[in-house]
Amino acid sequence: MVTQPLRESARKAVDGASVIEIERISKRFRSAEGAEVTALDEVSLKISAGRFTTLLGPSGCGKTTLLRAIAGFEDPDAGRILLGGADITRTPPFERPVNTVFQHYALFPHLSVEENVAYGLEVTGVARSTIRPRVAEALELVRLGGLGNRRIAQLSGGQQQRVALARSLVLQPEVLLLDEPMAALDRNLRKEMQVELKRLQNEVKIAFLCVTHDQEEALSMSDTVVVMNRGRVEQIGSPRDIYERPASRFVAGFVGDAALIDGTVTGADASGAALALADGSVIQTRKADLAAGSPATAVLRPDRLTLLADGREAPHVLTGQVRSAIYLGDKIRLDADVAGCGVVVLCNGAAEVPAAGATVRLAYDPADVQVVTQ
Amino acid sequence: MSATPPISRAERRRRQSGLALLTPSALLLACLFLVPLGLVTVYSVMTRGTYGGVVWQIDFDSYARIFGLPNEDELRDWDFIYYGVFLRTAVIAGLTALIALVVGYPAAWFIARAPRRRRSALLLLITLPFFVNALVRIYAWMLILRSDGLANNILLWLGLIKEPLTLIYTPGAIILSMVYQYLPFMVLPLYASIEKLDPRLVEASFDLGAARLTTFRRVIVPLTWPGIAAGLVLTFVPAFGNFIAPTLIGGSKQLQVGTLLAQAFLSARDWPFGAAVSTILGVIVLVALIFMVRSDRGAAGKGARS
Ligand SMILES: Nc1ncnc2c1ncn2[C@@H]1O[C@H](COP(=O)(O)OP(=O)(O)O)[C@@H](O)[C@H]1O
Ligand SMILES: [Mg+2]
Repeated sequence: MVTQPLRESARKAVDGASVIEIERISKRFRSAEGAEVTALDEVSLKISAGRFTTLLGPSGCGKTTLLRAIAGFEDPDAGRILLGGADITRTPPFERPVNTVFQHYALFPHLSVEENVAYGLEVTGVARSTIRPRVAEALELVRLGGLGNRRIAQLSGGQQQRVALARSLVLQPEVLLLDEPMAALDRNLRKEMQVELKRLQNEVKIAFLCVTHDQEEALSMSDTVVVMNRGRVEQIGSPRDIYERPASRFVAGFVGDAALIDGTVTGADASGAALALADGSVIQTRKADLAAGSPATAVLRPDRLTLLADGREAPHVLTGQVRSAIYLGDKIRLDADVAGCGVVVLCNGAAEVPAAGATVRLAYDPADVQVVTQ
Repeated sequence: MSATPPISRAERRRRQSGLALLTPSALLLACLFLVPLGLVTVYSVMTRGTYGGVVWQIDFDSYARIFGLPNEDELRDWDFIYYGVFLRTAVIAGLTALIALVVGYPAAWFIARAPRRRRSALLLLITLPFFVNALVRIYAWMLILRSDGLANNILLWLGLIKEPLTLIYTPGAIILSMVYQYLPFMVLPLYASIEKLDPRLVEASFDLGAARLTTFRRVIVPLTWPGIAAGLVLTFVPAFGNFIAPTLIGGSKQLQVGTLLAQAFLSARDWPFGAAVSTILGVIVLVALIFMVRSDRGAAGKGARS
């Protein structure tokens, strides 16, 4: 057998084609108190070859359960998991060409770094002569060359994570599953490892499916973000899609700061619509195809609202009361109340800091107003 | 391997206070264990007294007898009978330990993986036999295994056999009763080891492509090895010296080390000979303990490379 270099490994699936298809899988648990918990509720998802996909959602929304179902550690109650078109829903974990970087890495404490990385090759019957070079290459890839003889207990958290990555990547899985890989690292290291993880993924071109509850991490690392909430998929899209065109109130609120202003659609036509707010004022949007009379929520990012100085006018203005204002140097962070809804505004630091309780006028551009209806 | 790091002063102080805490148990051990042990060793090289006890005159003849050397004064020729006794006892004790391991491991696994609140109840059940006097338990086994006992009656009633089987007074019966008797000594250390085993490591092994048996051999056994070694020693050692089971269940048909000992002290009144048997038994126990410590360090250090 010829050693296949990890970097140029000939992946079976073409870049962008889906390697894993998840079809409407559901999973319920019975909690210790006997109550039923729906961890996954008809989740459907495609994972593309060679891409970085992130599962983003609050704690307890079913991310780990979904990952474990793909790895083979949870039996879904309903639905199918396809790998390259073949049904692997009932395949035991040790027969799936999928590997996991566990949340706390789960490295074997009785084996050295090298032995940990060699483990998967040895147990799957890879020819002995090719194991050494492949292990060395994998360690080189995660920049741990020279630490092969260390014991696991002698490594720092960041180094342990690299061993876990090498241990999985050396097997050239169809998909690498990562469960909150940064959770156990301190803040500075986390930033560094985000860059590192992205570099690795670019280099090996293996599909990564990475779980996180940190929206910044999700936006910065991924090609595709899957937002989950309460066991359901809320939205699948590029980081830009998710941020700029949220599909639901939940996504808009979870991904980044946003002003969420509830109202009712009035005067909708092909060029846009207006939302009537609780205080009788109106907010304009360029979003078309809204049903008049239905409830909807306007979504405005904090940097898209401008504080209007006295005497200045703008075509589109909202009026609100200041709850608090914080001077941040280059910016002022304003928490205001507009028509009973909390609104965050980041405005130019040169402006005067308004006092709490003061009435402020906020200018906006209807093109920046996103609308979600659920 | 890495070099031993220099010991800091705080570390040295910590070790010293650790030693201080050991003092009471060390003293207790010295009085109740080392002194009698020394006494037995001294007795073993003395001359036999006529009505028990010893005459204070050095004589290595007890060892000569055990090792089968001839002695012209006693008209004794070469005789290797005691090798057979030790060997048979070792086989029976070894089988007892191995069977206890095979039976005990799944039980310990089951308890360690049961819901936390149910574990202490299950552990209590495992130790339940300890609440009954050892002799009573042995008599219970005799009642079960006798030719007109419970086991034979059930087999006859089920029609599986026509004639009662010879169950009691066989090596199998001895092993069965000892496995029963020492099973808690196997299950408890195994439980302690298995409970400490992180289930995610088992999942990681599956994830990396190792099927169940490979995972058991390469991850579960090495990581629970301290419990396995402790269990083996804790069952092998008392099984080796046991004299109740060979006497009552085995019917003393074949001599074992335990029976040999009891006879030497109680009926033959040959204290030096009994003491010599005890000393050799002590050496075997010591070897078993060294095996445990050694293999433990081996498993922790090198991993299962097989
Ligand atoms: N083995 C289990 N038994 C009972 N409930 C579970 C189990 N695993 C997960 N759950 C429940 O399922 C839900 C989803 O859990 P999880 O997938 O771990 O969420 P996340 O990883 O997104 O934080 C949670 O409410 C959790 O309590
Ligand atoms: Mg989780």
